[in-house]
Amino acid sequence: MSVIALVGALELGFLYGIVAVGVYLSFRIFNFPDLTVDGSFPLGAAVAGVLLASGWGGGAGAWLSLLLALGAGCIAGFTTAWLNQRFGILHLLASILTMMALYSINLRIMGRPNIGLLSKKTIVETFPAVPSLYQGILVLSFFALLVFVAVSYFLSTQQGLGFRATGSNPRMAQAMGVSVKRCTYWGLGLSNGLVALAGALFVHVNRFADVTLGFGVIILGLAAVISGESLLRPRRVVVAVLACFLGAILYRLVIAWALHSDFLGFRASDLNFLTAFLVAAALIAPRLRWGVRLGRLSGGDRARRRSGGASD
Amino acid sequence: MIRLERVSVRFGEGTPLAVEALAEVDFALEEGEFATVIGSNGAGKSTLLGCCAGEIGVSSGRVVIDGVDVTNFSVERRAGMVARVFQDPLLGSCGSLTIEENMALASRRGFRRGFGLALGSSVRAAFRERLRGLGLGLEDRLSERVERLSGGQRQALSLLLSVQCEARVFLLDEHTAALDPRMSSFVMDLTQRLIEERGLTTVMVTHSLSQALRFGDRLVMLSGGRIAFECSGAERSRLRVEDLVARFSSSGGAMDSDELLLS
Repeated sequence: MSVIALVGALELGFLYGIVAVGVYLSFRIFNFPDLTVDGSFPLGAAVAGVLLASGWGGGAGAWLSLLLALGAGCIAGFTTAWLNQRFGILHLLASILTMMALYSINLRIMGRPNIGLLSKKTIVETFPAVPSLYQGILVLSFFALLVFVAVSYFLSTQQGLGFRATGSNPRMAQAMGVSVKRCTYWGLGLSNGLVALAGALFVHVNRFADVTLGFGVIILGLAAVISGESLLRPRRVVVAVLACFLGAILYRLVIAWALHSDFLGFRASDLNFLTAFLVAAALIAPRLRWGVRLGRLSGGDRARRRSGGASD
Repeated sequence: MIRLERVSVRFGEGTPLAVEALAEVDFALEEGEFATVIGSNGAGKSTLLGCCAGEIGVSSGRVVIDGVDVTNFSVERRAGMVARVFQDPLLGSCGSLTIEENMALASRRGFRRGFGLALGSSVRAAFRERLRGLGLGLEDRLSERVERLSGGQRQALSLLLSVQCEARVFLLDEHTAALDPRMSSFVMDLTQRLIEERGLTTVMVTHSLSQALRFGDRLVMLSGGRIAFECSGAERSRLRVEDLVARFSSSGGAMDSDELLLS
């Protein structure tokens, strides 16, 4: 693997680490399978892309575009929470509805399916003294660190505990005076805000925005969350947030290695297969740890069930 | 301290399946009183408790706690006044949070939650001290997830969590029913100790007639959504389980408690 490929993989690792933190918030903290992220990632990209293309606000505008993308993502999250909390639509369905609507909204925002920004100034040029190869990773690692510190701090505060209780045991949370409704709104808002921020950062670093960027973001995020968890087995919430980044970076390194290793014979178009394979592997791996004994046990269970006998 | 005024609860109103779970119930407890509530399945025990906690909205009538009309208050708005322990030991605490995190969560019941760190060394020391009082060795397992505890340990912790902040009313919903006999009596003793220590105004729903007689200073029997029988003081201390069983059959309610089978 070349240095360029390595740096590219790390860049994407930090970027999707931020996505993973968003997915961790909805899936793990709130127990809310939220597919909105497939729409909020390109939403952030669309907002940042349009603002950068127009040259709005100059250097400060570039930074401001990130904030606006975050806000837009928040609104997307609120919408899903609203459909779910106010009207009782099943969480999964509510999020799919928002995601679907966002596809059209993103096209409206951009006015065209993709925007190229090759000649535009983005936040990546903030540090001209750094060699251009490392400028992207510098910016992305800064944001990754920022998100890591902010989210893991927040989840350790009194408010954060209320958030976590909401996902873990809503009845108890309510009895303790936590407003489950408010927490769900803000939790999904924060989650999608982070994902949209990642979408905006993607545009800044890669200098283009595309309406199809969101395809499979949820799986990429989940892949990072799951593989990070199976590696670190976090008990503390700080470690769990760290695991999101570790999972994302590792996942990107593995993908880059697989795609760049000629002897494996993969092509870039095999990416989705590899992703699905890795996620499945990450889901299976924790079970394998128990070794053959568990396999034999569950096999026995299955055999008993098949024969229809209730031995216990 | 808590007063239900002509409270009715109807489920499925306007449908053929309409049920009146509570029918114009008047019920009041003075500060420091401890009432036990018994009744057969469907008599309205849980509905009564749900009305006090705010989980079940009343169809008509008023709920007043400490002079404040809380009839339209949500559960979380009442949280500062009401402490509660559920029947299911898993409901009283958050399984995926650690013991100390659960305690930190409960230490802000009814208060504003800020953006300061929930845990610090002084807070931990206070939690450890409180857990030591349980005598279950939980004080050495502060950073362990609650889902690793046994049902009895979790229920004891739930009790501690619920009374960590001051409360006007303490609601117990058959909180020992899911425990084995040894743990059940441990939790009940602990309950009694906490209530006496803090002078809590308590409503305890129970399935066990002997428990209903042994604890508290007032007994309420519900049947068909109405208070069928109520007693306290000397009259109550003379009552025996058999008398209650007789009362049950005369009120027309089928009794399904273990005591009935054993008596």
